[in-house]
Amino acid sequence: MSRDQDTMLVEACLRGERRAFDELVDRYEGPLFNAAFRITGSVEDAMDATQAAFVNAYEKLHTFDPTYRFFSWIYRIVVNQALNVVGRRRTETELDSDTPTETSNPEVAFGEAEVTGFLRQALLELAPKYRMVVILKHLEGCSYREIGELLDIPEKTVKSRLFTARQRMRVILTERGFAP
Amino acid sequence: MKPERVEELLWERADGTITPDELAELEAFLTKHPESKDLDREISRLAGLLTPRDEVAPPAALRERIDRALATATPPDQEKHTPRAARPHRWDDRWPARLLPVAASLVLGVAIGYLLHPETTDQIDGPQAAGAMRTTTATAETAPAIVDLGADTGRVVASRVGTDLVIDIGLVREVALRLELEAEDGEIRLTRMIHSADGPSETNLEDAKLTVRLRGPGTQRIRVALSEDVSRVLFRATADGTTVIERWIE
Repeated sequence: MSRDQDTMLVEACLRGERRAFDELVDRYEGPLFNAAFRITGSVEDAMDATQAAFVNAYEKLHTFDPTYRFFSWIYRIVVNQALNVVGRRRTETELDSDTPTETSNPEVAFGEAEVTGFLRQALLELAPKYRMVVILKHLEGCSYREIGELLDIPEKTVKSRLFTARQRMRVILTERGFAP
Repeated sequence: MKPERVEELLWERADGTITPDELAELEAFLTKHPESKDLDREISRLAGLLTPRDEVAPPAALRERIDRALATATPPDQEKHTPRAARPHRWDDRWPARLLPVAASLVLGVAIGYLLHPETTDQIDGPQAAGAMRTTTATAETAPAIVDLGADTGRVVASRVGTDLVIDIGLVREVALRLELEAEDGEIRLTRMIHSADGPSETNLEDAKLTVRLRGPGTQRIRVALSEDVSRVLFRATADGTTVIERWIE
């Protein structure tokens, strides 16, 4: 579906044609669920984030600027929803005294799921603007150009943010015991 | 090679975007500097963790949940929406990217023209006391309002671009600049500030009035979104305590 078709569907929805939004859901349910799943690592949490993103987008559709891509707009919404879910879960986990928070050798102590959990926590410690480029580059496999389009920033800025983000992640993960 | 360059090349190698020349440069460096192997391993390790995951199909229950949630959601406010046909285009939609430098040159040319021929400069509305500072006014929606602070100080260009107002500031010396934007009606929302001004920058947004204080030298771009009911905005700039422009931008 082209950008123009998306825009026409948005405008139809804004004229009161509710079914037009269903077509947008048909088109983007899969990519948005996957984006949320990569961030949350949980099917249930990803479903929550995706549902919330579509509802938020629908209710705020009049604020959407059609000179931007609809997918970019709703993608940012779902990523923020997913990060909110992970943030809430992290807070809950921190309250659980049985959950291990440190180890001298996490590779030995934790399996793949836990390593992925550490990675998500490291992502959460990044500022949102850095977190977004890491997610898009490494978890979504987007090119610099695609990231620039999604976030509406120049490629040069994408590269510089990614450089800073990776440096910070390296420090965070090293502090958590993921040194070479 | 600087440490930042080494790190950049190691990541490019991990991403698979490194060129053969860069790879040769990197390998030569790593051979000469074995102490960099730790960084190499660390980045390889992190790159290995950060790998794109396979696509997964969303559960069928998701669509049912979305449909149920949308059925009870508040519909978008149609009254606050401006149909696309009535909405001015952004610059980058109306101007192909290759023409943007030409457009920029034209704007610059106009600015230089005004500088060389001050008799063509319109009088600004409202108070001003900086006789040496030239200003221009424009009536077209996207024509810029240019405040020339003099070659040794810099200039400010304010343009209405669709529903946004874009202000580009270039200061070549130390000067305290205060900018005020006040909507006659409706709302102003700050959407983006890109700046490289050396001095501090302070922004204050209250109701329909945005005030920005900054100190040169440096450059700054401020982009604000205007609600659709804003018909015009009062633009006021003060340099070192002297008002240099006060006029309405339609």
